[in-house]
Amino acid sequence: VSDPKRLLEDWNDDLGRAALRAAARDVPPASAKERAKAVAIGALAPTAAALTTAMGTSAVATGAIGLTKVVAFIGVAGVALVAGTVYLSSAEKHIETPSPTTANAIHTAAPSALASPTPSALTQASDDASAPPLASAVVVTSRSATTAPARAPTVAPQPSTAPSAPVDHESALAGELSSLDRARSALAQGNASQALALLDDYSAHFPRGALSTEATVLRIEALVRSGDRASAITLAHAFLAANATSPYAPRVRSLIGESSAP
Amino acid sequence: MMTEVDPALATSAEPRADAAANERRIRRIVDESYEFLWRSLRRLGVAEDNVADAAQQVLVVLARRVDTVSAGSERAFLFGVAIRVAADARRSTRRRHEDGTGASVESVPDSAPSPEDIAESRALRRLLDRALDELPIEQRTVVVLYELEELTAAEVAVMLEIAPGTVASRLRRARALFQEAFERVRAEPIARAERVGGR
Repeated sequence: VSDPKRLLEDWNDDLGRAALRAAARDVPPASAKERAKAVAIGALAPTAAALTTAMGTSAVATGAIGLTKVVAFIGVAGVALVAGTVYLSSAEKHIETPSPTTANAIHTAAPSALASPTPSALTQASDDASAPPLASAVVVTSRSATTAPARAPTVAPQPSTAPSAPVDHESALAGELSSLDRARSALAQGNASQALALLDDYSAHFPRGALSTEATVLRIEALVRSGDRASAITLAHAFLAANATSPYAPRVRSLIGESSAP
Repeated sequence: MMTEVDPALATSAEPRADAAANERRIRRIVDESYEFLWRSLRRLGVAEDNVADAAQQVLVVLARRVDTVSAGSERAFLFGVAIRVAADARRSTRRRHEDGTGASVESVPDSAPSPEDIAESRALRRLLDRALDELPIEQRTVVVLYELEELTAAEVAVMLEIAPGTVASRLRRARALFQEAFERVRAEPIARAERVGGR
């Protein structure tokens, strides 16, 4: 039995397919992988040599991407290691520090695997903090994963999983989104006339845009807010005639003060 | 039998050999699967700011249990742990919102976009994530693995430890729910703009 077609090939929605493609391009900063590797190896290795290795790797990463803090725990049991990371710069944007509850969650993560007995000397690390093993780990937390430059000089470039072909299409959609966001933002700030001007701008740039429906609804709203109720009603009726079952229809009716019932 | 042994080396060479092998294996797994793990955590609802930490948590669990993870099932293990770590992260984010002690840009998108928001693809992913947020976890996982990671149905069955027939039925339901949710979230920013803009 063959697999069903994927949504990417089988979804009659440009924006939806674009969102799926955007997800495929969502890759971590290059530095994040090396940090994570150092942490995992640190959690694995019980020897001082291994710890040195892990810390060395982290130090490289630190130098490359300007981490806020590197914390090494030695002789502390298991996953309690991940708690307690702090940040040196309180002025920096605050990122959640792993909480005790998060650490507890790791205790319960994959319980069947955690519960299985492992006589190996390497996995003697007990979940029971009363019997601390020689486990060690390095926990590295960046100030923000998203702000870490992708051009860290000591880190190889990420293998790209992104297809390059749809980029132009994506750029156009991103342009549409940002254009509409500006209009929406102006409207949210009470500046309906500016919103209308921005919507004119949107229509000029994207006459057959994937978000033209959204733009029309926004325009109806902007017309109402600007006091041009007659134009709003005309446009709303035209919209409803063409899009009676649209998810926006109730919203449009509500904007011009009509009942939700068709 | 009077060989002098440095107490520091008394663990013998065998565990050291294991250590070296395990370290190589961890390196290989991270090299091969880190992007998969990262994306999975993101699509399972971990905010972008927290996903590096969440990935580290998953990998710490892997490192501590690496001897129990059979060859070929590494990704299934990572995904299984990721589901739990992501669930905790979502609860934590929700709690902070309820407490009013923090807001995730990812989970409470504002109508006024920041410069980052208008960067290519980010707004699209935000839409996608909001739609995924509306799915029950069982449906969400099959959408993530089949539609986004493009695993085969057979691979999804192995990874989630469910029957292939269950994958097919779950996927049908998941796609319908996801598409409905996506339609809804497309409409949301306008309603939000009105709220922000006042009446």
